[in-house]
Amino acid sequence: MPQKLNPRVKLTISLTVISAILGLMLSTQYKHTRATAQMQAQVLTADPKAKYTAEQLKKVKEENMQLEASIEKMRKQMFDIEKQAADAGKSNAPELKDELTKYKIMAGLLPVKGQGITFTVSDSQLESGSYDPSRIWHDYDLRMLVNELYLGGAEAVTINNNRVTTTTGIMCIGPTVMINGRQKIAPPFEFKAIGNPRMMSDALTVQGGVFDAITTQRHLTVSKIKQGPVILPPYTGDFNGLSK
Amino acid sequence: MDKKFKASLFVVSVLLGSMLTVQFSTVHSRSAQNTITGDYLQLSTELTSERERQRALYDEIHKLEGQIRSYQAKQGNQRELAQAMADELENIKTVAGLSEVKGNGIVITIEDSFEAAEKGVVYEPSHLGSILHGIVNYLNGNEAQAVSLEGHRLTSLSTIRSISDYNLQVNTVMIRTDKLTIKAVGNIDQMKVGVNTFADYVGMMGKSMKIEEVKDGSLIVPAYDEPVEFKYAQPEGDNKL
Repeated sequence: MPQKLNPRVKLTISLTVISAILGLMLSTQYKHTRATAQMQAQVLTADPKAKYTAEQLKKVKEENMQLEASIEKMRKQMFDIEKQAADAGKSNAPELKDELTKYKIMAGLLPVKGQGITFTVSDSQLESGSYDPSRIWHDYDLRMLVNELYLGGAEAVTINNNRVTTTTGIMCIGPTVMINGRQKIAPPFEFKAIGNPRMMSDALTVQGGVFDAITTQRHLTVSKIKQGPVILPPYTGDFNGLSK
Repeated sequence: MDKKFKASLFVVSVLLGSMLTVQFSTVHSRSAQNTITGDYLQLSTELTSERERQRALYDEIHKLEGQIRSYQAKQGNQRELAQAMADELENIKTVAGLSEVKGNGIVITIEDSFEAAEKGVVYEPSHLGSILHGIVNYLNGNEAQAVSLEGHRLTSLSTIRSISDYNLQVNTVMIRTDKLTIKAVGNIDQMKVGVNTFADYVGMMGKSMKIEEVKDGSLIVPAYDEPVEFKYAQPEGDNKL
């Protein structure tokens, strides 16, 4: 009896499997079509809550940029008055102005210009979909480059126009890097530094130095170092509350 | 009869397959929904911090307005203006790192530890410089206002350099490496979060890390004491500045 039934059972099983696969394929196809349509709709509407927050964030960021511009303007106004006082040459104003200027440069409060270097670093090209943490720039890599620049005699440094100050922290937040508290930046990272161009370049490119390690061991991309005059923007933050 | 059986079996199987897929999609779409909520959370966190930053910017503007008013009021009297400039110099020295800072904060002690070394040393002694660099960086990124390493203030011009396996230089001074003290004034809880990310690294160097909290405002971070001189950097042109 079981032997007689065998072809029928066989047929039932194969039919079940085939039908299940067919059903699976049909619904996957349906689901896929629907998902594509939905995704297109989502780009437009997103999550209303997220969309609302994004709009607010954009507004606050724009306002903050304007406030930063005002701070820069007011600092310039103060610097002008100090300069005038020094030019008048009365009292000890000239010495005070020189001291003020020096420490304002050190704190990063004034835009500065001078001879220096510019270079750009970026992640290594990865095949799409693959992830290799050694082939992307991390906060400590950026911080190490800043350290090397100062060892090479840098007097002022910016990363993507964010000035390095006494309280500057560089931290990875997801795929972006946060510098000076809130500025989120992403690769490529452009370094500008004022100082002796040759000394700073040598500090980076010395055999067995940072650039060597970065390009040969990690396959990260580093541009050619450009030497010449650079202008660095000022810092407009509150030094983690220290300036209060 | 046989045909009817086959047909019904076909229908049932198609239904079964569809149900399986629906089940799979439901599980799948839940994770997709999470991503959207995640985006919202990320956006609202960023919004909160940008609003905080806005308050700090308004505070700074308010402070600058006061200083400019004070300067302008004294412009007729050079001696008074010079005094106002001397006061301003003190403020600037503070943010540049040239004044001692006193307040609440943490004291981090990193020293050679037999217990840690026994568990296995993964990082060579030459890594100490970069680990210290990382700790200072994460302190600053977590609301530290002033940081010193072995009594040497870390400013925008500071460097930490590995001279050899057991010799480190901070700013331009050699420091001991068997026992190191980092002092940081700032937001205690936040700074601890930053420093604790390095606990494992420190352990893997055969060293122990201890964090003490100072909450009575008595922690002192000294002033930067190296000479400051700029040969290349100058304020951007008078008109453009």
